[in-house]
Amino acid sequence: MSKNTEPAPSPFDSFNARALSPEIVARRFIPSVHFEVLSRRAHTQVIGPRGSGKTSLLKMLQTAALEAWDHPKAQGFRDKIDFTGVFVPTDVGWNEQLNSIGEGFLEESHRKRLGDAAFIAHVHHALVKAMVCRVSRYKQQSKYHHRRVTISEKIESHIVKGIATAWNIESSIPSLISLKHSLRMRIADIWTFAQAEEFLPLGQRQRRFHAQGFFKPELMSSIASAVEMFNDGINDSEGRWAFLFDELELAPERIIKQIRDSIRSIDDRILFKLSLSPFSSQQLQAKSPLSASSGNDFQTIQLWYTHKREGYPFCSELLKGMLQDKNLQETDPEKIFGSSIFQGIDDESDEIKPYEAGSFQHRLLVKMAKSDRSFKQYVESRKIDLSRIGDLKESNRASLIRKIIPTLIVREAYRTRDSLRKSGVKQLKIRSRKLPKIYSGIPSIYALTEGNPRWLIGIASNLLDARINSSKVSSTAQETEFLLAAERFISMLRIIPCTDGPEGGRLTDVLDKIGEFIFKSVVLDEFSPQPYGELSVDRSCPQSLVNALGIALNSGAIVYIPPNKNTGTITDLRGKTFRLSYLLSPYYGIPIRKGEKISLSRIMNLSQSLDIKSVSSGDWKQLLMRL
Amino acid sequence: MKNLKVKKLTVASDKYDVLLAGANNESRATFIDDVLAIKAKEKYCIEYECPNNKRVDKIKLYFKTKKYRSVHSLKGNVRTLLGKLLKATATPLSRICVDITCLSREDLGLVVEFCSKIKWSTKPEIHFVYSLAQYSPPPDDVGPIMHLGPITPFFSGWSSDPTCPSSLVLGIGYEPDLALGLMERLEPSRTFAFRPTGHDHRYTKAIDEKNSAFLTPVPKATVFDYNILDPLGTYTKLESLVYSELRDNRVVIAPFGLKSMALCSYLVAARYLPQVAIWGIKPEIMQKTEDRLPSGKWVGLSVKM
Repeated sequence: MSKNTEPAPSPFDSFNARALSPEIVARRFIPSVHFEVLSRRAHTQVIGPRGSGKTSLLKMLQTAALEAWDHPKAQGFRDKIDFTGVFVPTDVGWNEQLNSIGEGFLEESHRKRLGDAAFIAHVHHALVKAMVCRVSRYKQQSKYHHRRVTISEKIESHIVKGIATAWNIESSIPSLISLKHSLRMRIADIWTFAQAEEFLPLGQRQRRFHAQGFFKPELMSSIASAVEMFNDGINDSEGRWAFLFDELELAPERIIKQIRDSIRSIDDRILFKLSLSPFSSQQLQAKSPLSASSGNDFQTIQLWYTHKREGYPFCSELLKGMLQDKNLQETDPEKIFGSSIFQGIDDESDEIKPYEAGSFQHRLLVKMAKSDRSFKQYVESRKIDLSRIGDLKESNRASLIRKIIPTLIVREAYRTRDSLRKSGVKQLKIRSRKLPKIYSGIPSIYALTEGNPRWLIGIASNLLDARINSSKVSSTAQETEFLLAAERFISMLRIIPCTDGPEGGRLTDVLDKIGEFIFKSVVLDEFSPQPYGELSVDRSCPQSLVNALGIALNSGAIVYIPPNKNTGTITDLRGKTFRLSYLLSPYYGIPIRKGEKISLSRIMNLSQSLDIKSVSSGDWKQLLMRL
Repeated sequence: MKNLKVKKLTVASDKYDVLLAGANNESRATFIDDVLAIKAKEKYCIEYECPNNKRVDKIKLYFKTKKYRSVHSLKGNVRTLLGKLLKATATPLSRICVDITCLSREDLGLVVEFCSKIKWSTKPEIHFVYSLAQYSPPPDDVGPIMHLGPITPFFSGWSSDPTCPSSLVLGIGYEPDLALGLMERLEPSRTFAFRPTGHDHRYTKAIDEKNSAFLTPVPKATVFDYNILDPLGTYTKLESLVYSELRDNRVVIAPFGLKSMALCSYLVAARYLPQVAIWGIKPEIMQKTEDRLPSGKWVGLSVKM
């Protein structure tokens, strides 16, 4: 598969902008308010879990992406963006390689030098690639232009010679393309050099390291000098360059430190736009009062939605774009996916206003008051006349009725009638494992996918592809797809260790405890208008549990509820509040909404005495196999 | 690209310079020595810590009576042993036999690393032999995974172009969720699976069940069946896939499942060094108390690097 082609659609291939060329990313890109902020001339950090669109945002600042972008707002951005984007990707695989080089036969200090040198060569390569994109001679004819320059071969030769000297590179042909290839060779040479050291005399190692040209360039000064040489060559001495470091936390530690320390001191022709996961290790935290800080020296973009409704506009735009790809541009998403039961839209009685007698809400309330003893007590204690809820003042209805409807929907879906429960049975009874038919429709689809484009694209694509001779996607098909997605997600998380958690030693054991606890609070316990739905991580939580939850946060399995907007990365989860991702709501049988807060240790303690068989723990797997 | 000659091994030689085997709590650990009666100038047995001490003690005693020198698996002993053999340039080894049946995957990785680093003028012939096990059901719980990453530093690979998309090639086995977990971790743009066949049908059923969340939505074209009785065929199939993927991708192989699949993966990685990385888990999933009995069948590969 060529790098410039889109991977064949398949459930095996995750939709990940990293593997896509800038041109392909541009084809699908929908500008959000985040892109508005990111495109400003300022240092910026973009923080979000896996799949939240960090890479797409950064990639769209590259010349190649901006020139390929065909969208009503695209020209506005091309005019506004007055810097050249230099995209520097990093990933887990390469991070492991940088960490492993020379392991077993080289000293730590030498290994770090090799890793740093390889990363610096990688940054240099990205910079030269961005320079190539700006030179008209190297670009194919395109409809739009962004910061293109025309330079003679003589000027180019002059620039390349200057950069090659500064970076200690022998480039036989003085062209940017040749320089780019030399930098790839340099990365390969670094590995060869390291491997050779295993069999060379230890005594002369220092001298051999000292003699190597690839250890000479220092990151900040080397990119600054190259930028200056290129800018001078094109007569744009103030031209700005934005270094777009994707997944910066995976870069070598010393590189991260240099970037952090440079944000204040480096010349203003160089900008940094960094993408990070929400939870990062201590190394990303500014230690010195002189280090850069969020709000003052760089802007922060938070790519997750604490309140589900904040993500709806983006999801709606994205889904419309997908429908357009399927030639369904005229179709309202709600006509295909239906409406959500949590919206209170009543398919059976659309003539009746919400909450009036006969409405969906009214029928639900009456039914639950008959079958659920504790809910009946709630109604009686608050003197609610169910026959007249349609007449209640809006404020009263909101505080007494509307806020409890989502809980009642879930409770009704999973709970058997109280009269069917045998007294004295310790194991509380829940309905048999059937699909509850509550997790479907618009905007539930938006909420369940958390505004995460990878999740929405993955799930909605499968649903749209599975339509057979029908314009609608059934709620059963939607719910099945969500359960499959949650099942796969849980499977992915099962490999994360958590030795200080419950017995089993995995992060998913912790998530199961949380999910089951919330399920019990919502469905099995006495009715509460505000059941548990959020958890705070105690100060006393053991480190391995905190680390495991940090990975869960970065994966999107739990969502941080910050006290303020745009709080930056989290270096310690203790004392902070989270909720389970709504993607896991169908898996655990819990509402798509926040709830009362409870500490994690209390959940763990109370869960030990809990004796319920939840809807999770593999039961869904069997159900889905049957489906 | 390293020149690698791989052939099917049907009869083990009766004379080796070095023989290496592993001893854990599986009864099949002694099968190769017992049935093939391999003779070697030096015999080493790598001993692993595992439950069921009674059976382990019996197995260790077997190797002791057969004049194997024991090497404890911990504290880098295996690396040290291999390092000594590698530097024994005064008397280069011409024939080495490695019974991979009960070697850990990490140690098997160290052995292949050792083989690929040999710089002697005459390349030794290395015979890898493997005793297949009778069917045993998958463990109920594989326990937490403390590490998921390159199996050894040598097999972490190296890419001169980290902007390349990555391809993940998975060997599937009894380790549920690992395939999906690894996909989440590495975010490959393409994934392929190698599914073992040719053994007790209960194995196939159990493996398919354990990997259902991974296999159910998978297009058949990306799942390759391999015959466990034909390691050369497996090597060829894997090598061919990796060769084609390397044109535009970085390749990571995660050979869960049979150890013969792991061997083929390590050999392919050694051939394309350093472009291919091998990932695995630690601690390795071991049967807690259940025994793995020999099926009576063995397979082998003869390799010259």
